[in-house]
Amino acid sequence: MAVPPQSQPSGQRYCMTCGALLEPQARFCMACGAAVDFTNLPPIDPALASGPPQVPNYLVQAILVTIFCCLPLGIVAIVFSAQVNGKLASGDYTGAVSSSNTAKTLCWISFGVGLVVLLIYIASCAIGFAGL
Amino acid sequence: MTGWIYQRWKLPLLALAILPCLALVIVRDPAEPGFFPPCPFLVLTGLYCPGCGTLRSLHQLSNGHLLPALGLNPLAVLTLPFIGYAFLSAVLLSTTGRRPPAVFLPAAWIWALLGGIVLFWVLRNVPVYPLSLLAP
Repeated sequence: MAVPPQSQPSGQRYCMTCGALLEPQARFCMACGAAVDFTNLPPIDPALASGPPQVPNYLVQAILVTIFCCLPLGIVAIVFSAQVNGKLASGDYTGAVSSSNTAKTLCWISFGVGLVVLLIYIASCAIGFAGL
Repeated sequence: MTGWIYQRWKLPLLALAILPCLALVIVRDPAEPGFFPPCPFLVLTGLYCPGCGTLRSLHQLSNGHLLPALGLNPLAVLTLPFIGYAFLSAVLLSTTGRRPPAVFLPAAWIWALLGGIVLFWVLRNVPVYPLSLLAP
């Protein structure tokens, strides 16, 4: 069980992702489903947050589809990962979110294409094995 | 609510999908033809992509052979700690609500990584020693 989180003076906690009010002790936001990160409480609005706002750059996923899934599309996803961190560093929060979404989409497309190719291969093997 | 279910079960489902595949790679050597599918990119183009040799590399690494693993795909071995940290971080976040500090990489580092991967992609396809060492 998690250690009781630090809370604001009011005792209320807000979701890092969508800003919704969290239920006490909630580990997941009931509004958007994001996991509650107890280490980074309690920024509500990126502009009000003390530290740099967090925007996922999907670099790990991009590396996974590039090197562990043999799909050159992952290279393009890494370009957008770099853009996310670059734009965050220069304070362009909106641009970072946009690049983040593109990186996410590219990773999913790469993964989906890889999965479809694998399934086609397995199906063709099965057909060959059955002697059809 | 669907979002909550997705977040709650994302990691267990991911583990359920990955672990059997990982077990197969550990037990069966992908270097032996016939069981694992050939890479579509290699079949279509005849070229090695940056991911060529990753499965064989993971097989060697899981059996304790670091040098053969590095020879098959150095990038896969070198990026593995980074991926492992990210996965561990996600597991800790969903089970305990806490996670180790997130690492913010300067954009220049990611551009350098990208340049490294593209360079690796080109050089490993040059059939001249010593560049041919980079081929899987």
